[in-house]
Amino acid sequence: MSLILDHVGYIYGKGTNEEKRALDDVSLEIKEHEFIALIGRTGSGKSTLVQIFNGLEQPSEGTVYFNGRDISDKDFNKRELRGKVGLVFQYPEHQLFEETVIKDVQFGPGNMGFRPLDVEMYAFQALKDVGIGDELLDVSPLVLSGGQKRRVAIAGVLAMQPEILVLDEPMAGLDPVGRREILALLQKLYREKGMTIFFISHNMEEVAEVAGRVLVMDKGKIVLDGPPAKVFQYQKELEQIGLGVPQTVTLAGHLEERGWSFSEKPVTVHEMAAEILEKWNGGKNDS
Amino acid sequence: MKEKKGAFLRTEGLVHEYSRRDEEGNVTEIIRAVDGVDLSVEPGEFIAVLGANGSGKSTLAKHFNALLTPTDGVVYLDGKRTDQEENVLAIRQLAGMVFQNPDNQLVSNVVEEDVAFGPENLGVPTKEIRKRVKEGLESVGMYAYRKKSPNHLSGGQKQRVAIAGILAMQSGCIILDEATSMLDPMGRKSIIEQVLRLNKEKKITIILITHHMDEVVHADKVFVMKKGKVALSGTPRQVFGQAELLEECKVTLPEAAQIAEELYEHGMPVRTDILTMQELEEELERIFA
Amino acid sequence: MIRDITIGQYYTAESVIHRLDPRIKIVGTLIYMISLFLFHKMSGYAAAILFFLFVLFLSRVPFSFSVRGLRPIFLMLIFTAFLNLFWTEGEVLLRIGALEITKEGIWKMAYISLRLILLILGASIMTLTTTPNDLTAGMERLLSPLKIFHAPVHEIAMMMSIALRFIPILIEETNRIMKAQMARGADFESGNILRKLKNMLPLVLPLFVSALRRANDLAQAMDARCYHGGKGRTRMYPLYFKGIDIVACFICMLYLAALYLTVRFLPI
Repeated sequence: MSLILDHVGYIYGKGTNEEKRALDDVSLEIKEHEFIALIGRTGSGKSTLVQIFNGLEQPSEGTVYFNGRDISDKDFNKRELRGKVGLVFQYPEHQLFEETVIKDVQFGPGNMGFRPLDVEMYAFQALKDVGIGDELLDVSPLVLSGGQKRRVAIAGVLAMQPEILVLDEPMAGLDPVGRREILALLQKLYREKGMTIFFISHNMEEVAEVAGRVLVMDKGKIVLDGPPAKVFQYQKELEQIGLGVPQTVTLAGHLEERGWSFSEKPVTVHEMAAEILEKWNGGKNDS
Repeated sequence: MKEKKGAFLRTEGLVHEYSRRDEEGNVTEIIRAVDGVDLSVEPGEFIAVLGANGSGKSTLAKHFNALLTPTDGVVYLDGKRTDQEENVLAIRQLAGMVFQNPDNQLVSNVVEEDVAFGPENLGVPTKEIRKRVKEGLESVGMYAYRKKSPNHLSGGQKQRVAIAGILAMQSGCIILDEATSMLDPMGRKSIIEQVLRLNKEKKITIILITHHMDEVVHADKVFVMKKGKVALSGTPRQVFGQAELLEECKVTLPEAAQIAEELYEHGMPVRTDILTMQELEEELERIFA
Repeated sequence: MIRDITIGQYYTAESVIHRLDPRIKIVGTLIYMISLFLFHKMSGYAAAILFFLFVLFLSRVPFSFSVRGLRPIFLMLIFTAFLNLFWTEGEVLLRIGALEITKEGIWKMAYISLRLILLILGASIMTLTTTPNDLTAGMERLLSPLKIFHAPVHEIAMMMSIALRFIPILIEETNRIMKAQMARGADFESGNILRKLKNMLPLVLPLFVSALRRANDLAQAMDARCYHGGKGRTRMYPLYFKGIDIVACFICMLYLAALYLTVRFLPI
């Protein structure tokens, strides 16, 4: 799997007086088996960017290559692309429409032209992967809890057998338990299924915890790109564009003012605790 | 009926049941969303109600302004019973509510006319409405947007307009029913700052229903709901000190408390009732000094 | 983007016409529209056009903007003009094959096209200078006498104003659900009509569920804000007649008088 954006730009309402630039010269390469988080303020172009990935939006400038091929080519099958680049929208539970959970999950793979037996198998497997038990397969999606609906909707995309799973704010509006479940699901898909994961989030702590690479968007541009431990060192820059850093980074900053030193500010709770304990134990040994 | 005075809001043995029906309309299941809740809120307090989805916290909140009436038990708001029809308008005027979805609670397509909606319903004279709309919008910092359509505002701005609409009704209490859960961090921060300020400066009673722990550290009192019951209550410090019980309620600790907890488990002599990063910082300073 | 779609087509400006009471504008527009059917003479059209231009000038709406309203009916205009041009009997001026152009046909085409154009332009002056909210309020007040027959005038006005707020939201939602289903391989374009209708289900059903959810939420929010129908309601901007509204009434009457005199005494 490889997805490459080459100098991609996107302008809304081109040619009208409401013209607005959503993406500005974005170049980006997503490689096989990466776990990427995209952060940025509301309106920074994140949602547009992910809709460029699977051809739902056509870039105004630049080219998108999926597995080496230009996706704007006439003979490039858009539907197949949408199966390979699985995109889960924000609040995806709002798209559920079938009478039963299993039928809804079969909708995507059914559209992909798989054999009926495969459609069924993929749907079962996807529901199993997201942790929806057999007893829920034949109930109406409308009676599920918020977190369950969300997972069924994700299964609906997973069942298309995508090579990369792209999710637009998959945790939005869920309670902590629901958030944990989705995060654990993404980690499982990444580790056990070897999938490439790309998700948008506003929660810096969660991003720091799971992602291997963080992209920061501001005004349609990608302004920072790297592992979370590196990206979140740019506290001042991130705050300037209206984003935060994990609370541990802020704490580490304050501690530095008090004379502590960190080779790199810890970005997760565990890292922070480990750093403090190390200093504590080191201090005890010295004395 | 004798009216109870004293607490601004009081529930006594509050129970709320609703039934699920099959296609023929037969009751298949009776769900007890709220199961025997007794609580009281003093005027001017900042109350937080925590709990996982399905714990009954939103159902509970809807009893506070008579959107729901008890299956069993009583709710008094400002001494008035919520299950008496003649009290309903007065109760709703006193306790305004901000809902979860910012898009689905604004009525008008002009900000100032939306803020005027409450006072218009209450029959407030025109001149007075204009004054209240202006004051309401100014106090949430949205006066500059008064002629705009809510469709052009961010989620946080829409929630601020909703708060202005409550202020314009001259409510003494604002109930925020998961009002921050659909907002981005900036929007959430701005709403929490607004209500904290209104609580301090105007002594407005705040009842915050949420599942974000970091929003409740400033509350006077926290109630943690589990399966329709109040499982835990007290000051944030008392509540967050009980990590295991919280775990059972599927509520997670604030980050600072998580770190303190981990340090404590590894034998560091750190206080276990830490709520904020600032407290943790001071505690570390004390230990390492 | 989509949220910018405005229903009607309000043109923001400060003018006397903008400031007029919506009731005057609604009634005035109706009078103007009816007046267009009262004569069949060129002089009458000249008077009607002059009056339109006078109001347009006062409204500060650019001419190019005001004629935008004609765009949707352009085809219809051409079609009726064409029909009248060729299918009116009378003195033949030109013959193209089986088609005849008559003198009466030319006149009739001119009359009918002009009338249609003026009807649309007259109505659009009203929508261009009155916010949808004012229009709703004006309608509510004008229709309020019907309340004695228990007509739900307030409720209808309330529904109109809620529709104004939610139509853009639902359009955006339609767009989002459509894209979400396309991301699952849905196809909304190909196939015959039956197939297309079936393919719309994944769009229509979620949209329906969502609209119901929003309606439910909104009803609760309105309850929470003490809404209990139109009884005892006051308004932040009540409608009352001002000096210019009285003047506007006189000008309307002057127009009618002038129209009568021109049509009565001018030869064509």
